[in-house]
Amino acid sequence: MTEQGLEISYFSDNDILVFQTAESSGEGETLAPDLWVIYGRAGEVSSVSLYGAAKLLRPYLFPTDGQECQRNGITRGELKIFYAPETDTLELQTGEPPYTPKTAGPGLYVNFDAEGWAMDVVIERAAERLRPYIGPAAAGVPEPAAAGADAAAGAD
Amino acid sequence: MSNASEHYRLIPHPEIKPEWIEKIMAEPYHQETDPRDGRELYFGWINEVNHWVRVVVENDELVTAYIDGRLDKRFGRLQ
Repeated sequence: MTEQGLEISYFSDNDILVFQTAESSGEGETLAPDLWVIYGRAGEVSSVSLYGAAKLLRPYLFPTDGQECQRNGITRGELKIFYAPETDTLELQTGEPPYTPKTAGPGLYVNFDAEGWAMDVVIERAAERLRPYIGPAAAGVPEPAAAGADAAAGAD
Repeated sequence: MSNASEHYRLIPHPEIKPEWIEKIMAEPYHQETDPRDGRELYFGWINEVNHWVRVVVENDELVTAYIDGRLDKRFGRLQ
């Protein structure tokens, strides 16, 4: 899917979701074992990638029939996930506020701490935009891990 | 879209030279395997850019490689 200034890609073999907004400079940072941000040549956010995306996000965005959306949880590496179905806003948080926000692309924000480290990613219209990739009807998407499996896995 | 090499072809980091990746995988400063999915992580210092580079491999295919600013905190700086 390509919106003006934002391209979303999903790689089902590795379950990697990528939001790309600019060309990469090759420099970035790993916020959590499954979440990394790459910067462009002017220091702008170039891409945000999430490993294990369907496994992590489906309980929040696309719960199985009859279940309510999960609203928050902690996965390995202290990656906290928050989802507000009312506004369809997803937040991937690795540190506590206060943040300095930076718009990475349409409906995509990366928040930084006082030292300039990326701490938090906010995705608007998350279920709407990710449904074609990791939604219930998407082909080849891995099933979510058993409850608690992520938390029990090792940290980076 | 399905495989790892396709991922790196479509989401490339062109400033990361292939020889850096080869060197890091052959002689990593540190290597670890993710216990959950078997993902292999290789870390190496590249003098040319004075930074740590993280290389991620899954099922013998390169998934990504990039200069990881956070690795200074973990390993210190070598220059």
